[in-house]
Amino acid sequence: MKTFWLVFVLCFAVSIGGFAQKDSIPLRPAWAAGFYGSLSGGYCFFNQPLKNTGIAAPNTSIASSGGLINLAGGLFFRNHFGVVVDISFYPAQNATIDLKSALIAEYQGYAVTYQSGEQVSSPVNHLSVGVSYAFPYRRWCFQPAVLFGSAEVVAAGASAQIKEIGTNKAFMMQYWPENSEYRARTLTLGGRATWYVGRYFGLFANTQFLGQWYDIQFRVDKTALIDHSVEKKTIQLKKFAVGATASVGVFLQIARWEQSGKNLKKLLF
Amino acid sequence: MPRFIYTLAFGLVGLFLFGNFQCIEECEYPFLLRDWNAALLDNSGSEPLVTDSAIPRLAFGLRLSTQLSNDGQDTLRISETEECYLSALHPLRKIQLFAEQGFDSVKSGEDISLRFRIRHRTNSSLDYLSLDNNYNYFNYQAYAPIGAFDIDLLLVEPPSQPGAYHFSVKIQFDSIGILLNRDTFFTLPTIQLQ
Repeated sequence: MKTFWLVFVLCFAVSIGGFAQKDSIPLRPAWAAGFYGSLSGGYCFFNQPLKNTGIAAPNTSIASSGGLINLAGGLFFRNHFGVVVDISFYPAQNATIDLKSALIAEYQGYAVTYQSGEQVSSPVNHLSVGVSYAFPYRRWCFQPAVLFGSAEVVAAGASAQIKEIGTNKAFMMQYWPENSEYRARTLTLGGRATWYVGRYFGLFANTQFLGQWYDIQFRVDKTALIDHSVEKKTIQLKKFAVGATASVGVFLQIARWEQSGKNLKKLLF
Repeated sequence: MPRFIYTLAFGLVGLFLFGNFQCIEECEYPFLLRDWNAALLDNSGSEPLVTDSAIPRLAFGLRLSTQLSNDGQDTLRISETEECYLSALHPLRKIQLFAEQGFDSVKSGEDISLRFRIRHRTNSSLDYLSLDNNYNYFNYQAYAPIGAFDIDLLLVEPPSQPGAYHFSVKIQFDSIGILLNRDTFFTLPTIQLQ
C-alpha cells in the first residue's frame, strides 16, 4: 500500500512537470498578490519514538504513517513573501507498548484483567502557520515555507485489575492522562511546486519535513483493595519524532490584486 | 397598550412554564431477596470458585446466593420514559460473620465481620467493600435480571495457622412498615483451611 502511494504521488508530480513542458509559454501571471486555497492528498511517514521506551502509556495515539489529507490557505505576494495556514489530517495509532503485556511482564504470579478504556481515535490533526517565499517562473511557482504549529495527541484513561494468585490480595491500576487535550509542538519545513493551468486554477505537488516534540504524562493510581491505600506515580514520556509527507492536489486562486507593489501596500495596509 | 400584546405575553409565559416544567413521575419497582444459600469459596485463581474441598486460608471466602424476585415475572421491564428504579422491599441491612470456634486472638462466637470484605464487581472495576454500611448496591439495583444473585465475601485477615475452622453468617433485613422478622442465619460446614 505504501509503495502504491509513493508511485502515485511520484507519477502525479512528474505528470505536472510534463504538462508544464508541453504548455510552456512565456506567460507570467500579472498579479501582484493573492489569496489562495488548496486541497491535496498523499502519504506521510512518521517514526514512532514512544514504542521503544519500554513504558506503557495506555491509549496514546499520535500521527503514524499512512494516507493524509492536507488543506492549506494563505496570502502571498508576487515579490515574494507570504503567510500560510496549513491543516493536515494524519492516521493515528496507539503509539506505546501494549499495556496488558507490560503489566503481565511486571506482575508475574498475578492475574491481570485489563479494561481497555477508549480506543484509538483517527485521524489526528496538525495545525500550523508560517511564512513562505515564492519563486515564480512562467507558469510555475515554487514556494518553500517554514511553519510552526501543533499536532493532536489523543490520550485516554485505562484501568487494570491485578490479583495475586493464591490469595485474596488485589489492586486496581488506574491510568489518568494528565494532559488529554495535549498537542505536540511542531516545526515544519516544506515546499510546493505549483503549475498554473489557468488564471485561477493550478495543480501542485507538496513535500514537508516535520519535527514533533512530545511530552505525554499519565498519573497512575495503584489502589490496594483491602485497605484502599493508594500509591501514586507519574509516567512522563518526552520524545522527539520526525516525519515526512508528500502530497499532490489542486490549487485555487481565490482573489488577487494586479496593482503595483506600491499600490498594493496601500490597498492592504 | 394594545390588548394583543398582553395576550401574546401571557401566551409566551404559559408556553415557557408548561414547556419547561414538565415533571417526570418517579416510579419504584419493588423486589425481594429470598431463598438465601451460603457456600465456601476458593479465590486462589483469577475468579472465586465454589468448593467443598480444602482452601488456602489466604484465599478463603464465602458466597451468599439469593433469588431476586418480583411477582413471578422473568425479567423486570422498566419504561425508559419514566424514572424508575429497583428497590428492595425488605432492604439488606447488615451481614455479620462469626467464628464458631476461636482462633488466634478471636474468641468462640466472636463477630469477625471486620476481617471480611464484600467483593464488588462492576463491568469496569473491582472493589472490596467493608461490611459495615455498603449494602445500597444490593438494595437499589441499577439493573437486575430476575434470578440468582451472589454476594461474595472474602477473608482478608485469615487465621495465622492452617486447620479446621467453623464459621456462621447472619443476614439482617430492614422491615419497612411491616413487622416481619426475615433475618437469616447460616451455620457453615467445618472447612479445612491450608
